[in-house]
Amino acid sequence: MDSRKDKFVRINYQPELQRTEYQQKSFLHSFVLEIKANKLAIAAVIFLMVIFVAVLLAPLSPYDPDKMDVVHKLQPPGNGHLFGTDNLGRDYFTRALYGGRVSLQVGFFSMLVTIIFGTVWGTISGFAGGIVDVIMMRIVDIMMSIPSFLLLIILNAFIAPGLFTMVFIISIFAWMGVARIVRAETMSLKERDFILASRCLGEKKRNIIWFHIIPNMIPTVIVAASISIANAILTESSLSFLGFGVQLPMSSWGNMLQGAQAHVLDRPYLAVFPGIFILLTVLSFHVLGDVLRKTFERG
Amino acid sequence: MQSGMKGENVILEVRNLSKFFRMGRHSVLKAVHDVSFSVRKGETLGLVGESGCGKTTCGRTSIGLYEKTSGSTLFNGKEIAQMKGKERKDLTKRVQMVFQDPYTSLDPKMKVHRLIAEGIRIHNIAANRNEEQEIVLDMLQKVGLHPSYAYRNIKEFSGGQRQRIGIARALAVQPEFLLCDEPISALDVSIQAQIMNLLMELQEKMGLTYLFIAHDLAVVKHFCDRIAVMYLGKIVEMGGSEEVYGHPLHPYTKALMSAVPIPDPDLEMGRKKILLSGESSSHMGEDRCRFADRCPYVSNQCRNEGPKMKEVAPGHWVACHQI
Repeated sequence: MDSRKDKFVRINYQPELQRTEYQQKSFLHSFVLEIKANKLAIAAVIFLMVIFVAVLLAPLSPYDPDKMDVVHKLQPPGNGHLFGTDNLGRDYFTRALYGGRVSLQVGFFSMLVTIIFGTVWGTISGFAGGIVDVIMMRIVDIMMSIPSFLLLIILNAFIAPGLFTMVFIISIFAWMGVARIVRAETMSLKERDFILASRCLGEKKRNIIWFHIIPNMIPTVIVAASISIANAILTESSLSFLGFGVQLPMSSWGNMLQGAQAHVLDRPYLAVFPGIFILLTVLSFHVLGDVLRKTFERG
Repeated sequence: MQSGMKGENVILEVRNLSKFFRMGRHSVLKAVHDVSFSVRKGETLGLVGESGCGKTTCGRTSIGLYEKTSGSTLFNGKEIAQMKGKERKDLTKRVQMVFQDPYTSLDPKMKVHRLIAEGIRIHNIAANRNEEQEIVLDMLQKVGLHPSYAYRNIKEFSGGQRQRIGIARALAVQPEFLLCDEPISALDVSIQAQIMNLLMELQEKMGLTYLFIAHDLAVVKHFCDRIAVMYLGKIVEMGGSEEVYGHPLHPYTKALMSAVPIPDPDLEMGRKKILLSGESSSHMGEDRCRFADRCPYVSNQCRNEGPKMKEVAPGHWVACHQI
């Protein structure tokens, strides 16, 4: 090579390979730190864990949730029945646990459907851009402008009610929010240099989305997911409360509330228990989402 | 010697390349306007100019990363825009790029070995995982990083180390041509020297050709065989590095060169600096000399027609009416 190109020389420079000792904190570690710093978050996590375990262990309860015992109807809490009994003499605590199973399952599966569909829709729309983006986003706008609750009730009248129809019905009006967030994120990510580098290496669009865009979007999606569970539980409860959710004798927190209406003056605790469960579960998922967002922001 | 030349050793030839961006409905930003140059195999062409003058756009358009507006870019005699499918994929193997900002050009979610292996996987260079791993470790060693770094997260590395990883990623597919888009300007001075040395070493070892975009004139003088000076989307002067530094002809180049500090206080004190007055005019203007508003030697002709490239000495081209 040309002798003109001498090296730049640094005095006292040892050209050994450098090593860094700096260790990155794992995500789980910083998540735990973030929770510890926030008393509300500790309460939320403990509450959710208790609910999960209780709901999983529901079959251990000595009572059958559907077994009526009219002699012992409307008993106050205590005396063998932790939450008392309802108007048909069923153990209210056991029914709350089984109801929790339904509510949480509907929440979880709706979240899955919402997140997967919303992410796919959002990434395609954001990455494709142009006319495809316009059409896909107008569809989202149209879906969002529909007064969904009324339509949910109508839909419910046509489809045989059950757990998975609930999931389906709740998800079809919930994915648009996720799609919008994901689209915005995709549009910001696709302008980054590392995407250009990937294109420069000849990567296919499909692989760019799969290997680069989606992994970088996971924080946003996880936060959206925790909020989405909360919303799905709330929607399910509202539908059940109006009598359009899962059908009796299967219990859910929403239809327990509905049954409690008739006795709200003489047996207010029948409304309080499922109400508190819905409130705390939804609140806890929101708090969890907030903590997750903070953790991701701090990096 | 220059843009019209069709020698066998020309690896990239750019002729009358333009890249315009539409800004709103009526205005057009002429980021690169009617630029011609060629890069010979094994040499380093430096592209210098002030911030925002279109260097990066010019570089990226000439290797086909951006779609050009007009003109032609020939890689080994073949028009890049006409390459399709397999040929296009082959181009991405032969032409690679090193980015300016090592913090945004590496996917923060990937581990080092996956990053470097990306090109290897796309172009099926390795027959199996072991071979792939071997190439990755070899590349890490080549750019001066410890092989044990391969399984670490990108977040753990400093700017200089990241830039080395970026270089390793580009070189893993064994390209012939490397577009270095200000690869050192985001780094500390001491690290800059290391990266420059590394690039020189790699050029010697692998016979690489560089299109080197920079604004650090001292580095460019040392590193490049030939230099093209850009001003607002046009190349105003081009020639051998010694020639352009020794006898700058274009008024803009003169001003640019007089801004390079001399590491000798006595000389530096006695030297006359050319200060340009006025603001640089916009990219949107009509076809006239774009430097006219700031040029101390401006004439009526400059305001009315754009100057053509003239060869004033063998291999030394200038676009100015006054010469």
